[in-house]
Amino acid sequence: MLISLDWIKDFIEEKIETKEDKLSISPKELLNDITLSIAEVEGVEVIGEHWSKIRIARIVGIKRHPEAEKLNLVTFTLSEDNQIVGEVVCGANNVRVDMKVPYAPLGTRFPGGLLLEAKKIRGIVSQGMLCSQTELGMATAEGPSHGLWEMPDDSPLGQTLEEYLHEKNDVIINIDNKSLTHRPDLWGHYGMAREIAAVYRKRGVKLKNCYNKEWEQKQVQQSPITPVLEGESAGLAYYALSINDVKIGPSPAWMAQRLTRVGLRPINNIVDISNYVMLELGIPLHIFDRDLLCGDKIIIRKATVPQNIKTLDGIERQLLPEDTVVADCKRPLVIAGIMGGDESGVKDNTRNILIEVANWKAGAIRRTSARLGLRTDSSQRYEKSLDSKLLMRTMIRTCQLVLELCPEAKVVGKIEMASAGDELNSPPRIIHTSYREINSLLGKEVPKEEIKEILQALEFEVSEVSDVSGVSQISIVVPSFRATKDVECTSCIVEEIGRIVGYNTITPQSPLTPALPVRLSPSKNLERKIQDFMVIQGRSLEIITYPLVGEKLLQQALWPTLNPELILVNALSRDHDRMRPSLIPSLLEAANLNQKSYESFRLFELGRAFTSAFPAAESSEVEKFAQEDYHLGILFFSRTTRPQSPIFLEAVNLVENLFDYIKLKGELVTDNPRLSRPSSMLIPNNWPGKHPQQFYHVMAQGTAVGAINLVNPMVLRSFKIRGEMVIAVINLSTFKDREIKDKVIYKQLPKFPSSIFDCTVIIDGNINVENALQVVRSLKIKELVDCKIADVFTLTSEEKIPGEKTRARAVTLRSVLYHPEKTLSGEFIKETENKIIKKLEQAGFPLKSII
Amino acid sequence: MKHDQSPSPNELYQEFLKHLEDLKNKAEALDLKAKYLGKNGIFSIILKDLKDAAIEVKKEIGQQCNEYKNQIEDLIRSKLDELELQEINRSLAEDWVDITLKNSNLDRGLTAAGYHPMTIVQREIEDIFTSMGFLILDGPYIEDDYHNFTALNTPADHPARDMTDTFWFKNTTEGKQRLHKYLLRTHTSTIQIRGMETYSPPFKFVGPGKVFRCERTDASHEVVFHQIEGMIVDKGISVSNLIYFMKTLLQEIFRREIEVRLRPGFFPFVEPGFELDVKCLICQGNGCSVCKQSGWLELLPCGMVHPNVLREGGIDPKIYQGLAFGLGLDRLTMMRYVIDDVRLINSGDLRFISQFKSY
Repeated sequence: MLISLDWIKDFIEEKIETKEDKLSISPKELLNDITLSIAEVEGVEVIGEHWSKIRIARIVGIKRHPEAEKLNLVTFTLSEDNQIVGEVVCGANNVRVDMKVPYAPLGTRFPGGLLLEAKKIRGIVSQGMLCSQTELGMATAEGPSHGLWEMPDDSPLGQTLEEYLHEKNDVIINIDNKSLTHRPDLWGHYGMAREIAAVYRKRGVKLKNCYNKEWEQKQVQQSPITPVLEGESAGLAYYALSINDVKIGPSPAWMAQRLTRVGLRPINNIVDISNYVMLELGIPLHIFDRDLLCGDKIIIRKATVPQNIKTLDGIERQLLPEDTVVADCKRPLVIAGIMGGDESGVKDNTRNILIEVANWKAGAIRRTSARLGLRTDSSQRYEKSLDSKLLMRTMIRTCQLVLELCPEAKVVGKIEMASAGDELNSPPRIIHTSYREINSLLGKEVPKEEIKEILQALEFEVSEVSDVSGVSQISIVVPSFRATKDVECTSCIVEEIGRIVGYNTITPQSPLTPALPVRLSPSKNLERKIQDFMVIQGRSLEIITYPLVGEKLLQQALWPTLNPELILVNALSRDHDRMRPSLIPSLLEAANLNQKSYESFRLFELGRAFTSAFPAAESSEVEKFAQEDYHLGILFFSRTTRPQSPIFLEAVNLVENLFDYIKLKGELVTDNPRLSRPSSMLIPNNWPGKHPQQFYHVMAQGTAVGAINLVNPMVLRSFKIRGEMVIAVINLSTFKDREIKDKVIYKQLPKFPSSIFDCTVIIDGNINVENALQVVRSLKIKELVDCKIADVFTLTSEEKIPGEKTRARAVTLRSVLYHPEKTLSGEFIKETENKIIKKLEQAGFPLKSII
Repeated sequence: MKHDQSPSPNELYQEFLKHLEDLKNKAEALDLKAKYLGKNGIFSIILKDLKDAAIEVKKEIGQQCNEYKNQIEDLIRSKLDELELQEINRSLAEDWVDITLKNSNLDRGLTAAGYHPMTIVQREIEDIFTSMGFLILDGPYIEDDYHNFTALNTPADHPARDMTDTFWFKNTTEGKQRLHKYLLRTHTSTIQIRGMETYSPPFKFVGPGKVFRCERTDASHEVVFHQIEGMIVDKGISVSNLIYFMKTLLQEIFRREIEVRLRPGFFPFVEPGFELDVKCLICQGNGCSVCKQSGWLELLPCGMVHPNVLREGGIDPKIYQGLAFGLGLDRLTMMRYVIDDVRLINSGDLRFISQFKSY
């Protein structure tokens, strides 16, 4: 919103005798003070500053510039005594002695921003400039002027153009509307003047009370139109006044200039008055051509369906039954609080008018305005909750201006009014508090007198109540224009005092809270441990991606569900219109992007995945709607295959180590019938990206918490990615709140020797070595403490048995026998070795020596 | 005499020395050792033959033989060591490895590893708060109307709802009294409500996380960005405490003395509400393009917790007061690393991420 300082000055008391301008404050200071005490200023612009600097001069002498043929050195005077003031370099053709011209001294800033500075022109410093009309920003009938402005001979020498032309300079302050969201009172110049007066109260700036509460009822005859307010509507109060015989024409220059300066286009005197009053008092109003209305009633009611209205901007708009309209006996005339209709508005030939000054329920206006996508100067004021008690004043001011601009106009009847309930008689809001409470919340001792003075400057009434137990209580009457939404409790009073005394006068102080030990929550600790592990051990880069995805990506990833339950109403693009069901599509998208730059990489993300919930009885509202899981996603990519270290096994080893690191027993299983809960299937069985063989479920605490998968080429093909990719996902939700505990207890070092037994067996090509290990482990011999693979080699073609075991491997199993309390006997060892061999043979893993 | 015909121990020793020089490997050395010192070696035979000789001869020759035997023993040992060293050196020379063939000289794809730059900044900030006694809390991204607005003193139809462009979900759920609508949280202030639901005062906590705004994206606007919310509730909390905490925090973040100012700012859940500015770190307040010539940078919104919010969290505002603030993590990350486009944060582009690698 643009605020004109010149306009503000209308409302500041001035000392009659000195006419001193107490608000002559530098724009920079204004910007700073308003920002710190009232609302955010986006910028301050000085308009017409040059008028007060430029004076009427008479040329005394002209001589040729020694260095330039087309330039002259011109001397001039500003007074009748012909005293020469200075010499300027001038290039105009029409320069002559005795000519009266405008002279701009150094330091003048011209319209367009040019600042006149001391500069040498061909070696000679010009002490200012003689100006043309174009340079002064004046329009001339002949178009842009080139020569000096030749002023009439009787122009008073030495007078400023401000006096001569009655031009005024002004400061336009641009206030950020967002910072006025809670301040309906600041949407007009009068309200802003009150604040500025409070801020500069110490300089003696005082608000002038321009509006008498009394309205002289000059006419008491019958009003031609009266308002009727229907209870269901959004109407709070409605004032109507009829005026006859207005004459539509252009507004006077002062009004047009003010409107233009704050960004409005002048239209005609009556329309301009409605805008002018709104900008002055912050209350929107509407003026009808009364001759276009039907009947003698203005009805404020809900819209009936189906109903359309063509608004002032010429657009046909559809009304719904929840919208409120202002109607006559036939049709809706105005979308209440938002915009008037085209038909009944003021036209060039309008003679008789009806002025509407009304107040509406903020919520209803906001809903209709949002639905229609129609935010107007009017609606953005009403949705802040305006004060109905200001309506009368607004009507008086409007009427006053109409009569001023159309002296022949006559008021017909009286101000007619309709209101909802007690709207106009509601009791004032009173806040009971104490100086002590205010100062305690502020953390600063502001003297009582100052608190009182500030509140009074802002039109709060302060009265001190009896001293109860030594604390003087005060009751504060909140002015009605601050009580609609903004000021409701002591904290709000603290804000008033704090911002006016200046928050920068408060000394920072530490609160006196006891020192208590804190530690990271289990989930934060887990998050950090995983990040550390993935960077240092996993040699991976951490990425962050949108938790929002689109159908296109899910389809490209061949993902089996499209999460239709979690779609946004107002997504900005179809690529990000729903929550992701898994991190996998996001990881694939990132991999696809990066494989264009790199041959291989490892990345991970700690992110969330979303599924529509299966509500449990005790779950909260949000939990009933969606399940939000914390996932770790890991992706390894390599353009080329490295047979000696398969990428899948690298990921497997990493995940196993990770579970050790977070001290959680994680188990990798190839297949598990217990995995019934669909949400625990992190890689769904029907995802074409699932690999038929290189796949593990990760089990922890009895449930599937993750999966490791070599991405099926089907999916890579869909992204046109060449290479190998493994993805692991782990759902941290089930264990993220579990404390990571160090449960290690020292065990005695072995006192007796252990016995190691190696045996090499033949394992068929497509059988995992773990099957042989399980055979040995299943012997359940207490002394058999360990069995692992010591060596694997694929049999050469000479060694292979014809017909079968074409890709067989010779695998050396190393078993460790140990007893904590004794040395094992030779017989026992021999006996156990035989048991192992026999069991292996029975399971189809014969010793190599046998074949 | 038999003795006169056989060579003297000295002659044998001289002969040994000649052989010693010709030794080429360990086997020859061991053979030579056996020839002179073995059970049936030359010296053993001499000593054996001496058993019939006169006692003086026995003593003299025997002594000589033993001396030479010791000397030969030592010489063979050192010769063996010498030969072994030669062999090790030879085999090591054969096992030459190009020690400049290290990873940093190889193109093995992208081998860098490291944290996301925002993680680095976020951790630092979390650690500052932890050191000042704050807990770190979390909350869901998908929220209901209550936690994002109503409980934060922003009832339905409050114009402040327009200040944040909210993403709403199509689906709703049927509540007991009304329809429940869901949204993506527009600020981490929801964590204030979740914190108050969990803890009783006095408490201090921060809540970092993603937030969502339905806004067009450009170099300085993102749909998904990151904030860290903070809240302190205790007896006697004042605006002066708020300034203290904010100043201390920012000095820790920027690692230097900074000047701050508070100015009125409207957020429905705080009263009084502020925007906190820091004196521009680039131009020291003289005005530059970064601070748009104002000399100040708008850094964080903050304020005293509105009594209605405390009440909503089951806290009596007559006994306890609170302060709350929110920091934009993307902005801080961008300031720290001089990143000029916020969209890089969520891009997943490793050309960007790998610049912040740990190794």
